[in-house]
Amino acid sequence: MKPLIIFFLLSFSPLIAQDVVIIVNEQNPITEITRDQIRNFFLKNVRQWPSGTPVRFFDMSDTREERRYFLRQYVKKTPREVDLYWIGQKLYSGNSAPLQISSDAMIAGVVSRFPGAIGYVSSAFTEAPGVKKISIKKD
Amino acid sequence: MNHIILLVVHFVFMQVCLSDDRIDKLTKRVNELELQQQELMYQASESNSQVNSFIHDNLTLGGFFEPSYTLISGPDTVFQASNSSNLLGINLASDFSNKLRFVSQFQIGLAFPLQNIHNDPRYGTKREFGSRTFGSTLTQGYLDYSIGETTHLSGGVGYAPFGQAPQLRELVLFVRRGGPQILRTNELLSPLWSGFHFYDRLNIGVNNWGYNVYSFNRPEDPRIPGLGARVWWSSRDEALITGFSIQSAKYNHKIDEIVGADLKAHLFKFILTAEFTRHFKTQSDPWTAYIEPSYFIHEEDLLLYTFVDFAQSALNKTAGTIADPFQKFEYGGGLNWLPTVFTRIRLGLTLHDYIQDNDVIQGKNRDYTSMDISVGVAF
Repeated sequence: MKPLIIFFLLSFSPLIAQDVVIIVNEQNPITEITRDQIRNFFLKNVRQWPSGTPVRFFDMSDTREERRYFLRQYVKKTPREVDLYWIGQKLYSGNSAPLQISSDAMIAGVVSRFPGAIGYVSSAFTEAPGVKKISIKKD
Repeated sequence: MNHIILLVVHFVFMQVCLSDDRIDKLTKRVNELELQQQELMYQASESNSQVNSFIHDNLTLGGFFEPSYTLISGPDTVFQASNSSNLLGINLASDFSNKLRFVSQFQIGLAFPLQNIHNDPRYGTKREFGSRTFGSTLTQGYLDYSIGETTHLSGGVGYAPFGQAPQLRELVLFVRRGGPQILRTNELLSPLWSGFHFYDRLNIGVNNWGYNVYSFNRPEDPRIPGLGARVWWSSRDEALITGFSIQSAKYNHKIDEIVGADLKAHLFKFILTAEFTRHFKTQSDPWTAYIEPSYFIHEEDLLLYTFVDFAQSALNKTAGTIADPFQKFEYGGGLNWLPTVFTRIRLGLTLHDYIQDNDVIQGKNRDYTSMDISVGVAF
């Protein structure tokens, strides 16, 4: 039984390692968020927080494996589908894709600067001044 | 001995103090560098498609270009090959505030358009590529005000939210060249809204719902604006979208309705788009319907598509005067290759099949086959 559990854990460890944590500016009163909200914020379907503060989403650089995981789990699209979505949006409604940032520290840095900012970082991220982690609420 | 111990303790203490001091300095320096890097990032703005202007920083520039080569041939159509069109679309958008934004698009074209496209011999000419023409048009230009989280009110002109195809007028976004016949059939929908456009999007449970209400002007009778509306539903991940659209306007002293229903499904590598549109009139009802299945045969860069597209243009007039009510099938398929996400190379084949009484006019067969080779690039 024990070898089986170890094998199971080892098999899924890369997936666990790719998990991401959602962070927002510490001034934001929310403590949890639904996957639908994340998706709508990312795709700019919703551009304001319930408080009226404008949403500013910061994406992870497309070289990061965690981004692929985030898009699959939260946006329900592949990186290519997301690229094509933003081409369509730019042509149809003028919306452009969120800024991509390479490191967790930089994402935390910019999220701490804007009250309505939201981003995601790798699960290995601990904490940074001016930002807070929020939990995922069931839809 | 005690002196030696004191000396060693003092030396170690000094080293610790020096190390702490050095670490503090290094930490400070790292923080400074990180802040500088962040400042550079802010200066780079939100996306690399944004440019700085004299008026406002948040100006988005984008667009597309599509040159195409078309070959046609038929029983009574001489084989011809032409660089039929070159279309450049420029998009400019600007966020003036968190709630107010401006969106625009204009298109500039240089083309050798097909003359007497339905090969009506009564017109006195044959179906053939004409001389070079060029022109530009405004397709979008509106101010959009965000009333709430998802509620918007726009004023100006833009693509009419009627079904699937009319909302994707940019040629690079169509699966097949020029899009379906719904956009080319006379007496059907007005492709642009003009005046106001009110729209909202709601997330209810696991579904997305939305609606549009807008005004427009029919070219045939621009004195009284018409009213259009659309209600749509999509699954949470938007893999399934369906909607019902209507346009109502005065035409020849009567109020007419144009009604449409559409469906788009994206399941794994399979995409299906289908639409139906009908103009309800008392005597003749022009209508069109198409179904367009497509499949990614290689990852997400090689799309194989087919389609069957029918149109009954009961009120069509050749040169605006000769009544030519035709019924026509278009069917075919092709391949879209996206070597990069911003570039699309297409090879498409379309069989234009006229049916019923107007298949042959004065001994001239109207059927023909067209082949398109085009490159689309979005930027």
